[in-house]
Amino acid sequence: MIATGAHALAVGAICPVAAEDERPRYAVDGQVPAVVAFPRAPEEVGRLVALAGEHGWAVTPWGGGTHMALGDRPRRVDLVICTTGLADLVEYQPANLTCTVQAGVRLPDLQRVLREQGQMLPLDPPKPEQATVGGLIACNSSGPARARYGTCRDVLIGIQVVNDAGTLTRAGGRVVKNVTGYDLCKLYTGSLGTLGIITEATFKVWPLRERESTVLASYRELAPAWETVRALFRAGLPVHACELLLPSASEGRGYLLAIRLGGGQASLNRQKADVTTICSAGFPPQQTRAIEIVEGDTAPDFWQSLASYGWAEHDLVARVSAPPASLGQLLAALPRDAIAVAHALSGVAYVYGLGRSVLADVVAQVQNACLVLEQCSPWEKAQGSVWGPVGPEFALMRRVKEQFDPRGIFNPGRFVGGL
Amino acid sequence: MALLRTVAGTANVLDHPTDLLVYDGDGAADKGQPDVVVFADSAEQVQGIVRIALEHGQPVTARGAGTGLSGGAVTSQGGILLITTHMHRLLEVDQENRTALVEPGLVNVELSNQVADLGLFYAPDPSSQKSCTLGGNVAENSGGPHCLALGMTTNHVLGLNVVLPNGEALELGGPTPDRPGYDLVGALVGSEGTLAITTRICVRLTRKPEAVRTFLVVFETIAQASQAVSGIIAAGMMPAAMEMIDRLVVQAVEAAFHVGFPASAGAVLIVELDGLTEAVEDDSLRLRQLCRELGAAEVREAVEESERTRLWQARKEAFGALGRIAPNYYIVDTVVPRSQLMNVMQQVTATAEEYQLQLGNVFHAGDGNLHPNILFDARQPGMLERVLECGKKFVEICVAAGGSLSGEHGIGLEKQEFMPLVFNEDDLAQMRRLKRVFNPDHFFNPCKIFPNGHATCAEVPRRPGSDLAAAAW
Repeated sequence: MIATGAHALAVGAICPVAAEDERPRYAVDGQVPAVVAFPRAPEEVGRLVALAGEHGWAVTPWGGGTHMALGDRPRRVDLVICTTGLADLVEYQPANLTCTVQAGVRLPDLQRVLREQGQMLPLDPPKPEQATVGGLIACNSSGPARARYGTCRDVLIGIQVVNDAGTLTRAGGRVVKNVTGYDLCKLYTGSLGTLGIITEATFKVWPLRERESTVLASYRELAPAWETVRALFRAGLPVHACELLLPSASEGRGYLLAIRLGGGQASLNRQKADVTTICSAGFPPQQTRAIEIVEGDTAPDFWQSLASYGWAEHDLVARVSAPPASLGQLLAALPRDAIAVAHALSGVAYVYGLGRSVLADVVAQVQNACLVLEQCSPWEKAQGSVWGPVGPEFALMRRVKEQFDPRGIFNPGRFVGGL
Repeated sequence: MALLRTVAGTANVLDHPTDLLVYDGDGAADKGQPDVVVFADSAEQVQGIVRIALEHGQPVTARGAGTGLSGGAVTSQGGILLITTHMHRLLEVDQENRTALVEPGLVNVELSNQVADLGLFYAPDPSSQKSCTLGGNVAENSGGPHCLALGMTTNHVLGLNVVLPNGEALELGGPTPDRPGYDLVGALVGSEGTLAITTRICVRLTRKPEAVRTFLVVFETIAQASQAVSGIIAAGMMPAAMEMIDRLVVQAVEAAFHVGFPASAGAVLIVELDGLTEAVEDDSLRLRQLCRELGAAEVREAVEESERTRLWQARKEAFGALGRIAPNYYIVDTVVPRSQLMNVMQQVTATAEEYQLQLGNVFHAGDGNLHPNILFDARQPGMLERVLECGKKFVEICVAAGGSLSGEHGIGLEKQEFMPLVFNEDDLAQMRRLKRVFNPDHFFNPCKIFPNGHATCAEVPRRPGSDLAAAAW
């Protein structure tokens, strides 16, 4: 454990630290760190981790702070390493559609740079204004765009990580196709800072959509809305996102389907026509068609607010997932007034305001379904792991943790099975 | 040996010296003879074989069809070569989730063929797809022409059943997204058989596009063609595939397949667009215009399906056609940023000239994934050494341009000594940690990937005194 005084001085010799009255802002599950450090370069992160290792301090990496509620209550929080000072755009090669940035770069800043070249990073996590690249990877955050582009693992092609000894290590590279050594990018993605501290990342980026439209269709019941989702899946249109909002989340618009389309004019017209036909076919005879098409310029705000839906208002945010075709079953098993938004083609839904006792029953009704409480009260955390029970593969995960962090200094206790 | 025969059946165990000779290598230059070859029929047999091997301290190397190009399936330290080609069933197709469960010995193209009636296919399509197995694809994270838009093997594998080096069988991942915990499936794909042996794979299937249009774009020089590839990518187009074939290969392919390649071409690109009819129509116009602006001498379209098939056959079997030029070829797999293509191709060409070696290029240009092919006659004294040295130069050129060692063939034995070109000792130490998680005693596929001078590899898992040939087992 850090005794503030002398150790804070040692940290302060490496980089700026938070003032005494600032520290409580960096509490994790109520545990206030003894020191909060703001390194300005990956090398400083390395020196901090080396120091922490020497003294056996527990280190918690902190990016934009948008997902600090994720995970179980850490066993200890001694040193918070805030990565927002690592804010350099390292290399951007528009002609190669690759971009290397430091971990503290905020997502909107990166998107702005990419947009100037007609490109984008196709990741749209909740609370994007604050989210940093490093946090995004560590939490494996995703959003509606995963329907078309996948998640972090599909676009992350290179990474720099400070390991438990404070050494800067690399994996992957800056090319879009690469089988050179083990793909540690995959291992670090979603590892919640338990294997090392991400200091830099290289992404495969995508050309921006030429034009876009959003089709909105409201249904009175879940069944026709879900059938429409399945019909869309079978139609194989290049849908960029397909969200299903349950009535309590749609502001009086019933079971609302929001379908984001993109492409050139001719392709977009065709997609709108097809999607409208599919959505119309989904309405039962007794219900009037309720379809609206929102054209490009206004829709992005809608999508941005949808990506962050519910996070600010609800203490309880749960992620349920299942094989995509079974998601309808999960949604049907929820209480009728549940507040939920589903990435309907991807097999993932976010449920707001409901705790484990209700959701565990829901998930138990669907084969291979998972439940993770991404944001919840200390009381919920005290009842059991937010990640749910561990499976037979956990022994391997424990060995991964033991190999990469033998002294257990990185985020101890926050990850699956108490890792 | 008797134990192995009990587990796998007498006919499935080979240990006669002449039989073993057949299995001393894959598609790469490195050789290594196994002590025994075993064909497994089931996951249980794989596990049984691994347990016997474990008990007798013999290394196990898994092998699919043996089409690998980096020595991944070569038994560099002898021991057991475990072949999975008898496990070739398509176990289940889940249309509603668009996934399939397959055994590792299923041939890549067979999966696509078997789901074709459902309007589906399996996206990664290595040039060897008519013979390579999906288990091998998982091990090598194989690519192929159509990875440009759709991604590599790793983007299409959702779950794996594996046998670990400790003899344990385990199911990892699956069709449910966002499972809590470390992405072990992601870590295993591309681990070249050094961490686990795959016994079942859950793959994602892809819906066939409604429209496909394939173009043959002719350039006077390979420099122009390289520049065009960078230009097309930079313009924000995302073709389904974009392949380059240079003059020498064009001529060899033309002689073999008569696809109508213009013999005078300095290089041709095969560009394929797919998707919605309207999108492909728009993209076709754009592509034609871009190609003209970028100096193409001619843009032809394969209008008939038969023309398209022939074009792709010519591309995928181009290596075979090279046999008309020289008895041996050495294919170098490297990858560079696409903006560097022209620069790198110029250096590669100059280097081949310097070494007085004939070069044929046929590669996945859209990904920046080069395959310079050195054509030679191995019977000439000193030739192989010169070829390998020249290959190393190619890799160095690519690394200096910001590239990497391998785009899709893997490191294996072939490139392990090049690893320090892109990774320092700390980077490699971090990767070794992953190896220790799964395979701490180097029991599976020893002496691969990591630079260790495999002639003097320290990863020798045999127990002292144990001998596979001993009658005792």
